[in-house]
Amino acid sequence: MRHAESSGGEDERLLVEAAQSDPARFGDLYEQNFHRVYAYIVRRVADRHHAEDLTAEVFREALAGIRKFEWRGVPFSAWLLRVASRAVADHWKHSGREVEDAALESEPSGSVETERHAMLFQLVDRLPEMQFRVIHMRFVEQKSIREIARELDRSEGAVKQLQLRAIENLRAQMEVAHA
Amino acid sequence: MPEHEDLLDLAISAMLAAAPERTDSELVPLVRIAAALRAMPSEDFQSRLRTELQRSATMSASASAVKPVREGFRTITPYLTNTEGAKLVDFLKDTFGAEEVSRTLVPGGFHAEVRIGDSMLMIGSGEQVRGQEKIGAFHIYVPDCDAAFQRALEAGATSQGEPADRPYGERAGFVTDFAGNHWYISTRFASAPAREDLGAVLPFVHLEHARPYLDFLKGAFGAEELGVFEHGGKVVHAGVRIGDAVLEMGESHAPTMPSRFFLYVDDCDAWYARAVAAGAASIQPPADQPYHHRTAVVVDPLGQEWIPSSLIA
Repeated sequence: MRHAESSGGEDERLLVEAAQSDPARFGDLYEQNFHRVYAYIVRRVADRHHAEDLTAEVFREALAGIRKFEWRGVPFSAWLLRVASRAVADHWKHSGREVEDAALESEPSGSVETERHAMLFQLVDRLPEMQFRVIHMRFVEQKSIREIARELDRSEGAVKQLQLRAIENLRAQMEVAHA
Repeated sequence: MPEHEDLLDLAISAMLAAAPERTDSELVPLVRIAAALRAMPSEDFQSRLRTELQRSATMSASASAVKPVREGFRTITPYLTNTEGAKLVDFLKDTFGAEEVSRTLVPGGFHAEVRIGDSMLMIGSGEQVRGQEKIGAFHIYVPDCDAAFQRALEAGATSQGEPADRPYGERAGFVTDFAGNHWYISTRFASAPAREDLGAVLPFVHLEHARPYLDFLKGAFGAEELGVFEHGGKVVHAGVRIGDAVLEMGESHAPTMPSRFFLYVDDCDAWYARAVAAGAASIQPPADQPYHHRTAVVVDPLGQEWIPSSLIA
């Protein structure tokens, strides 16, 4: 199942308050912030496996601490990104490597690039089903066109067409979003 | 002549193989998008994390709906075990007027809970506890020390000290029961200053060095020092509060008794983690039990067992 993210200060405040009184409502905040947090982290650790682990850590911590979050006009996402920034710094520390400059960024809203990546990942979720499948198999599962064609029972040419249309689609939507 | 989709795929394949090639300028924006897609999250991960968070949130909501500490129990409840638990229950009834609140049969014995005044004791009995008997020392407050002392002897206890007025504002006599538990039977002088509610039965720990143990209790269980009395360079008596219970101790050369304490707390996992971080040895990490408790077991530096426990739905 794929979900869309949304934004809006007042809406977000209501979502936070709902989750504070009933943690079972945390799911809405998760859907709204998943891609942003993930994009912030993956740009800094450059590895999907670690990025997923750290993203999970951030949301677990956020759920555990949701009642402590105080609304002071700063978006909930900024709080999440601070948690993410700390998780990334710890990750580098524990891996015995120097903290990269990028890991030290602490812009409350994340960088423009983070937002672009978050939007892109979010737009992938909204692609037509078959285009989504091709993109996921090609870039996440890293399968060849031939393997995808076999699994989807399509010709290699059709898969390449789907890949092209999906990426053109994403590019067009990114341009609209940033126009 | 390759088609547009073929050219894009060639560029993507080269990018995925980390062997970039010259790309048609028309394709560059698309290849940039493709490059960013290499880091996209897996759909499986998103849904797994969503499910995990939903489960945690539901558990947290149901946990908060349950009061984590059992009604009628203080933070610390001593847990005595003996193969002849029934005899021990009878001793407590006959001597201190204990009320048996429950007795649950378990394979090889039973688990009983008795109330003395406003304090609870747990008793494990039968073959199931053979070889791992737990005993303790207790400072117990009764309305009439002399009468209770006499009843203790009639119930088979051995005197360790006749009732006498003690310099600490109490009349007290000391006995040891058949299982080896020490009972310091006390009645406060009527003239003694009023004191806050400490409970009728206070566990007492004999140990060689009190200071390091006090530090351990503070770190492990957030203990608060109530008073430390030294004489001749020895801590003769110290008291700490843990939650709403009091634990007493005094330095002696007698070995520390093999005791076990149940700890009713709001968050078993947090108390377990704090105890282990403070130096307790982990015997059993937190786990849900079939009797609606989440419990863990740790052993303190003196070898005594502590069982942090919270109620669960």
